[in-house]
Amino acid sequence: MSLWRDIKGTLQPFWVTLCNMMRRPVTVQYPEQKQQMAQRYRGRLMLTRDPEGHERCVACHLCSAACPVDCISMQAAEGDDGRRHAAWFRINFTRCIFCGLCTEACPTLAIQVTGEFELAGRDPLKLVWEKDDLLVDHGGHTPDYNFYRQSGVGVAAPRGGLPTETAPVDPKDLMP
Amino acid sequence: MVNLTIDGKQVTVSKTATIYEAACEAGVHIPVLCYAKKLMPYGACRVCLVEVEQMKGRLIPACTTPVTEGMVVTSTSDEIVKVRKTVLEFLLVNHVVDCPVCDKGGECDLQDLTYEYEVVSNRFEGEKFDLPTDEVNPLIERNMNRCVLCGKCARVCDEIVGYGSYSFINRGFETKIATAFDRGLNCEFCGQCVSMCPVGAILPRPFKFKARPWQLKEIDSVCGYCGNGCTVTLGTKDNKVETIRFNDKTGVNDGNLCVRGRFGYSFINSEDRLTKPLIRENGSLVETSWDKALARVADGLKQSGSETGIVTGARLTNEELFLLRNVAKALGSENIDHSGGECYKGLTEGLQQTLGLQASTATFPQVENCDAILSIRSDFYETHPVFGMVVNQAVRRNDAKLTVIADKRGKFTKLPEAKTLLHKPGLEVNLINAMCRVLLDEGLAKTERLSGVDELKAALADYAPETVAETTGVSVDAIRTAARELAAAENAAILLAYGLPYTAASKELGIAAANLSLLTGIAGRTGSGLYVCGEKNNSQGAIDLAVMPGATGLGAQQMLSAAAQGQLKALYVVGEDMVSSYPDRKAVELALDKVPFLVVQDLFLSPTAQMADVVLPAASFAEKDGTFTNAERRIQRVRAAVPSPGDARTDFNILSDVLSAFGAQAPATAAEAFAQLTADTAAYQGISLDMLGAQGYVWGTDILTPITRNLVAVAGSKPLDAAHQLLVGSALYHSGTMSTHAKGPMAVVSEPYIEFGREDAKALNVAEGDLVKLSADGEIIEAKAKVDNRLPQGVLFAPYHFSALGLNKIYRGQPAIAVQVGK
Repeated sequence: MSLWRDIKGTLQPFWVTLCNMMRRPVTVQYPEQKQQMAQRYRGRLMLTRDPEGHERCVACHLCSAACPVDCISMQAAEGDDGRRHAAWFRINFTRCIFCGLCTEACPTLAIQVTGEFELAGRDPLKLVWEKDDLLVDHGGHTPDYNFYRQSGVGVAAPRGGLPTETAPVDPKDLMP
Repeated sequence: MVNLTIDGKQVTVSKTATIYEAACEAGVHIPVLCYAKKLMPYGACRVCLVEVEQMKGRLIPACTTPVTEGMVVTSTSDEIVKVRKTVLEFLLVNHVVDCPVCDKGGECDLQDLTYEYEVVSNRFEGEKFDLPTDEVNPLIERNMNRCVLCGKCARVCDEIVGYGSYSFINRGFETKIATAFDRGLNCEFCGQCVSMCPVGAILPRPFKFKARPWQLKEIDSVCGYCGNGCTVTLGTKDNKVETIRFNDKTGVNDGNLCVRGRFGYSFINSEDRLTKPLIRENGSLVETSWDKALARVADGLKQSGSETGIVTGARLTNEELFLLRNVAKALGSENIDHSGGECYKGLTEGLQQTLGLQASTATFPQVENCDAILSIRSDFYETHPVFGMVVNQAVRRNDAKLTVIADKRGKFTKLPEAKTLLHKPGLEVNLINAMCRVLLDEGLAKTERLSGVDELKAALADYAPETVAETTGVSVDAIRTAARELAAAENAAILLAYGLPYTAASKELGIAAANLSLLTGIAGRTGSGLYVCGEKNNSQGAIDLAVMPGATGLGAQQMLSAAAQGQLKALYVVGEDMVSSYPDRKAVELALDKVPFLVVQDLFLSPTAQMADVVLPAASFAEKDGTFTNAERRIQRVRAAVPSPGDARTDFNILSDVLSAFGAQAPATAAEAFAQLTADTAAYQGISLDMLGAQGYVWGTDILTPITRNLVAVAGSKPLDAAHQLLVGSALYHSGTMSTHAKGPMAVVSEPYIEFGREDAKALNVAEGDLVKLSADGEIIEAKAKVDNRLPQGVLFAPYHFSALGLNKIYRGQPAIAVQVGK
């Protein structure tokens, strides 16, 4: 019986190889070729803006409180118009584990994940990103959400039912 | 006592307790929003609803319902949870839920309850308010859109503070908390409302967006301003004091604070703090190293030896004062004194001669249960605001009869039913003498065990109420009633504050107050007390530790005159700005100019420090460990919360170094120093640091029994004959000169002022904000005028805290200064 097993064991790998030779390759020639990441891929973090172009982040500290590795720090400050914003905002990507808990905690949908994952470098300090590095000029996957228009506008469920209100955003929703 | 069952737990509480208090006792958690331990039950929020078996299953509020025998209470059931959830939904109908930008987020009662009861949706719809926020004042920010109408702010302002800033206005859904005429807040800015607000409707503006509560480190310490000794819980972040946290579990103040305690912390982080020792070279002060500065100090003091004078402020810890005394010993000098040397004599000589004591006879919390209270000077509230709040509670809750012997009206005179004996300036002793006379004449005096009764009777011959009424301008009936009420009361208190602006006749006033306390039996009686309270945080400690001239030593004033005559070789000034605050600035400046070697140890480069040969940068109360003794003899622990800026060192370390420079043995730590000082001080015998619990430790027990009961006759004074008389005193927003470096108090009262009564202002054609000049004895001071209705005609007032005013150029320790008003 062991002879039959040996023959099978010799031929089967060739068969597997033969099958895969006919398939399209799954690997890409990184870094010459770059792969399109999945929509819900959790890569580097960014700070988005509201539809009016203002920073969404109100420096509420919830992301830094939710962060399991304490890689987010910030200082809140009062703007000229009385708005709360981050005087500085810092993410240490050498510590970040890309768990995405910060994005779940964020009440203003300011901090969001991108598909970007290329964060290797020689100098770890270059991976400490400041607010200017993190800020983007769009609203990420929730382009219409505006905290200052939603806040306090209506908690009565379902939210956004009143004529002056905009439709509610599901903060758990990650679909683009 | 009443027995009841809460959630199956048997609990025995007093019959005045509510179900909520009983539940707390039993360790059963009942949620509350509008309840506060120190306020009267109110029942506004309906979150604490519970079920009581005997009440037909009806839901009743736990915080307002008193317990009855055999009650069976259920604190949680499906129905109760449903109802509480509904109540929260109601509250959230109008609430703006802007938690991300609200500083209360993380310690908000509404947030916690919403989370606890999983209120994720709301079945009710309603309008969200868009009320403008009150950001007019720099200290308290109000956003009424977040308000849940618990009424705590209105109640604390009325019940505890007695100011009454807030009230509910409008009705129904439109109801909101507002000030009179719905204008911006303009009050004492004690911030009690801030500490009470369960949501983010009232917030401290200096702390706006500074930090989240979970980022703050909390350190319990004792306030470094007045002799009240309130616990302040410093909220620190990144080695900076960011805010004062609410804490009603520690200390004597029940979580109450005044504007100085709550908003006066910023001097700790001030940019103007001294960070390096300075030494005078070629006529100007230059930065140097500690080694050089200390060597210079040691050299200078060694040369002067027993001809050194040491003057301190009463802001140091007991341990530091102890070391300072050791420095004096090491130098062989008996010239050591504090706080100007005169103002405390009411206590050290007045009470010593009469009662044989040098301290207040009872503790502050007892005053709440007094039936009659006599406050000598209305300024007592200004110097000891939180103790003043206790007086307010006594008046409002227990109908205590408050009499104020005052030369001007103030907070106390406005309290309900308060009787004011408004007299001409400087005649307090006359009035007290007249009250003693009434007691003796009418046989109300408790003269058993007292000595000197006949002598006093003889000496009081000139103080018949009728005569005194004529000189002082107070009605005879008022004097009689005040004396009778004080004698008739079961529990009574006499309050007297002392401090640098109250130097005049301090000894006489102390004796007079002690006489009155003996004749009424207040001194040493349980529940009653004579309170002679120091202006500074450790005034009592300085007296307990005998930081006073020795038998052959010179007091502060004598030191200054000796220095002016060139008889003092060196002066070591620790934590005191003599130039700004001591009476008679010219004399002080002359003395400091003449003294060959002047060392100043302070936080700031004060006018005194600018004259020094060596300036040593010291640490504030938030940077050191040690103990303070407050005006009721309570020894409490001070804890270091932040490091000192730059090279600044604690007074303890500096004094240790000075001591070692003389080859004397200095205790290594504050704890060691405390052990040594308790062994060395009679009243502190046997007290160890472990005994200073959350409430501190009151030396000599709550009631201090007088050792002697001597009545000593004191003469009153004659009224000053001048058309305009200037009174010197304390303003509520400031304490000493230190608070003028703190942003909070400075935001409210930022510059010196001269206060006029309305009649005078009209007659002199002075309007609020006008620049006025006061001249006396060839000196002129100038400041903006403030006009209100506190002062009787012919009387002006100026606070002494501001160095820039130069008030002490004309103030030389008189009870009132005759001035000419000009523009």
